[in-house]
Amino acid sequence: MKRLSHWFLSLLLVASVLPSVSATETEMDTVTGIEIGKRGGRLVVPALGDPKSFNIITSNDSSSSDILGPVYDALVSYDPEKKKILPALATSWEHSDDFLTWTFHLRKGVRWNDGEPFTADDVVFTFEVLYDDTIINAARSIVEVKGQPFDVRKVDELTVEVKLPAVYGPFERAIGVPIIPKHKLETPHREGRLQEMLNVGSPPEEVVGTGAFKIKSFLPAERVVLERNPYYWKQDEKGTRLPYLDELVFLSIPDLDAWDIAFESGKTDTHEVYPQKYKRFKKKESEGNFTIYELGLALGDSHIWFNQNPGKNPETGDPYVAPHKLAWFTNLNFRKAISHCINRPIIVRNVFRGRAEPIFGPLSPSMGKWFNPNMPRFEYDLDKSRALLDEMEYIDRDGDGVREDPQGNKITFTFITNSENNIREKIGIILQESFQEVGLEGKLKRVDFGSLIVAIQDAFDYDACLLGLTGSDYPLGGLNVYRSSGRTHHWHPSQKEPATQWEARVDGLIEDFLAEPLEEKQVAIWHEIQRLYAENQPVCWTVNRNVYEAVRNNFGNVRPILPRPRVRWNAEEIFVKQ
Amino acid sequence: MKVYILRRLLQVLPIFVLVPFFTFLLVELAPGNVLDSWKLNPEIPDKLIEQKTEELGLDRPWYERYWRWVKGVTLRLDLGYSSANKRPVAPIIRERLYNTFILALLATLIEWSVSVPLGILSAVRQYTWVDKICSGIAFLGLSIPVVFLALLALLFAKVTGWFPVGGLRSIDYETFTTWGKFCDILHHIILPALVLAAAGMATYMRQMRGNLLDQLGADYLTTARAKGLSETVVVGKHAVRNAINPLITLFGFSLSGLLSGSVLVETVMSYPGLGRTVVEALFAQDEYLVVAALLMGTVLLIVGNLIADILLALSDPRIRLR
Repeated sequence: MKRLSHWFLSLLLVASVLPSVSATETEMDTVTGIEIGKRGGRLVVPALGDPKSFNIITSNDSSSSDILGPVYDALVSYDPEKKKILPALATSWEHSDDFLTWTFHLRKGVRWNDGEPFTADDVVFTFEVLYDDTIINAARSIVEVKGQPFDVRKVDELTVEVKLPAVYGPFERAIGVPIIPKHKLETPHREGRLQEMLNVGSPPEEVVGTGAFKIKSFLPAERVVLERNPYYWKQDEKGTRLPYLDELVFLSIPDLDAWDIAFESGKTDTHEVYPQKYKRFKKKESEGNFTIYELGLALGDSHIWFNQNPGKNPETGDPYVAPHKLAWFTNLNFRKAISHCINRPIIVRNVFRGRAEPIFGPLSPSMGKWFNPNMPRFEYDLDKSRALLDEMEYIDRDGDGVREDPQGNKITFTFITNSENNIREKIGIILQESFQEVGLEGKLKRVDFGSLIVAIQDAFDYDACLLGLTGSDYPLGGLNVYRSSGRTHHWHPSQKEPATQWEARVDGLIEDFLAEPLEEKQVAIWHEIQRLYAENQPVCWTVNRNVYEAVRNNFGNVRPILPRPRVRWNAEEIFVKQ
Repeated sequence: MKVYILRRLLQVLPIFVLVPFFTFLLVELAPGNVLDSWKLNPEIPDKLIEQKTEELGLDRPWYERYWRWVKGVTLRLDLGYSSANKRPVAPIIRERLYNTFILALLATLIEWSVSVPLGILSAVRQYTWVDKICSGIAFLGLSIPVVFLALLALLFAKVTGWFPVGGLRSIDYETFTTWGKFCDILHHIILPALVLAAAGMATYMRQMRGNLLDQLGADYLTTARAKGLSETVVVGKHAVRNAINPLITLFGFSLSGLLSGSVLVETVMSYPGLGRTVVEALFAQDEYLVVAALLMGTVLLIVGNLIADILLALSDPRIRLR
């Protein structure tokens, strides 16, 4: 017992001494061009739900990654503001001329937030875990080339060599997976416990990363508190170790109306202001001591697609889509007519109070150089829409206001949307009226989220669907939407062979992108993919909203950006002004 | 009495079998499953969804999963695993049940301590301005939906600044003294408890008033008055005691009623309770968590009714428990 208390005492001593470890031991990264701040204070941000897991490898919900993002670092990091790759756990790296061998030089003296040193072994271990077939994780498909893993080898304590089986275009973005601690996780991994360990009930000190923050406490349905990692490897120009903030608090508020009130009452420091509420908050800017930042058009959108799945139900043998409907939906002119009749100006005005813009392609205009501005646009034009329908001989023959196809089938279809989202419901109602304008009968049907997923991914027994997907600022994450074999290639998912020529062409372009190391050429490929999508209209896009974030004025170095997490992407630099 | 309680508890057993059975059936009948939100995420590979489906037994019929659950509960007292929260169900329920319980307790306390005296007052002073004001308040309490009242309470807290806007504990809670912690929780809980109590308060008040009015006209009270008993004793000791019986029966249901009423209050006022967990679990189709939470609700209903019956026997000597 005596020995135990002795041991415990020395542990306490170590714990109290280590945080003041001198900055000279670590090869610090000096952040330039920011306001010099002072340490202290906290930033409180709202969160809709609790984190589901503290296991960075197996978690794949946004509430968990919100919390774990600031706890872990990768070899390299992407700066969404300067739009370039920056050093993180690796200070420099170079590649062979054939882009197949990459050598990473690791930062000296980096420590995990429990004080243990970070070395090349941790990097090798991380990839070993990602490539382990028994550990289900979403990152794996990103760190593979043509289904083959990278060969990650330790050269010495601070050098890692990565050999690729083939050239991998997005490699520098893909290599940015969070690095996990070998000293903590090797034993659980060997015992096969890694998959299920680190649930949200585990002690916070077990969650060990090299990031700016570490988990201090978690109260389910109340809040998660992150605190400063005393070993973090960034400093400001005066030599103060970052982060400035003592704490970063995620306050659980499950109701969006309550988010408004929480921000207005000063409980939270940041708040996303939806276009419908922009005016209300703008008026309160000075009184509430906050500023609303305009971040540009959202990366995600609301779009409608028609079910083009030619398959049959394996049990009953009936086609998923009635043949005459499939004939309409697979007709490009029909889809063009639909896009022409969508009353986007009304959606912008009525649903978003003018704070949104029409969209005509798969990528958001706010993706900068990746966005192709010269795509065909099938804008709101009822005459063009009617002309296209007339040309296909979809004409109202019996005078009831609804057109019939040449075989005499009334053109009537239902489109589903999930009832939990009232913005999308409003868009759906406008679409319904738009279709009526040109003599089509499209009926909106609200279903719950579960039924929607079953319809579009299992049963395929629907006509059309209105839905939104969230986008990212780099097209790597969405490949399964664009690929014809993807599960989320919704209008005709999981194709064995590309059904159409243009889809085959897109599949080929995606392979080209994956094999293209030069970014300018990657951009050109994506411009081509967007053109093909816009021309073939597998999806009719509607509008993207403007994104606004309100932040209290008493914080420094607040520079919100569009990709999530919008305000706290540079949380280590944010400080409380005196 | 002991035999009675034992027998009552035995009668409960079939309920414990049936509630989970129907819950499983209902969750199964609802389209989709717990992996729905993954399926819409393009970054999650098909392989992962297939593996997880198999692991959770989602590709098997629901009665197999039900049977697995029954075996777990009876043999190992294991309530199952919440796949949406990636952890066992038991600790999740434990955390939340306590919070909901103290909220319900405080709400009940408010309900009774306000509604019974006011009900008596408005019965004794029938048709006076006191009675009219009380009735007016009661009708308001009955007719305003709880969601609206909860939002109103939040606005009230925001405008006046007297109460915290939602939550259960301040961020600095850990640094407070024990007394400070107690006050902090009370400060947070009072508004949701009031909102939750509002509807029940109105019901009880009307019930109390009506029952007491029935009694006040009864012959035995005239006799009591004729014997020269003071009005306080007549009403307080004789009339109220007879009038309160139906309220005690109502109390038995109120425990579980508070649990379901708290769903809305907990969501709007960001209160970390069981009701919110049930709703979130239902939306996520997290069946084991739904079953466990509903089971807890059932336990509360049964215990509440049992307590009410015992209380009834204590307050009314005419009732015997056998």
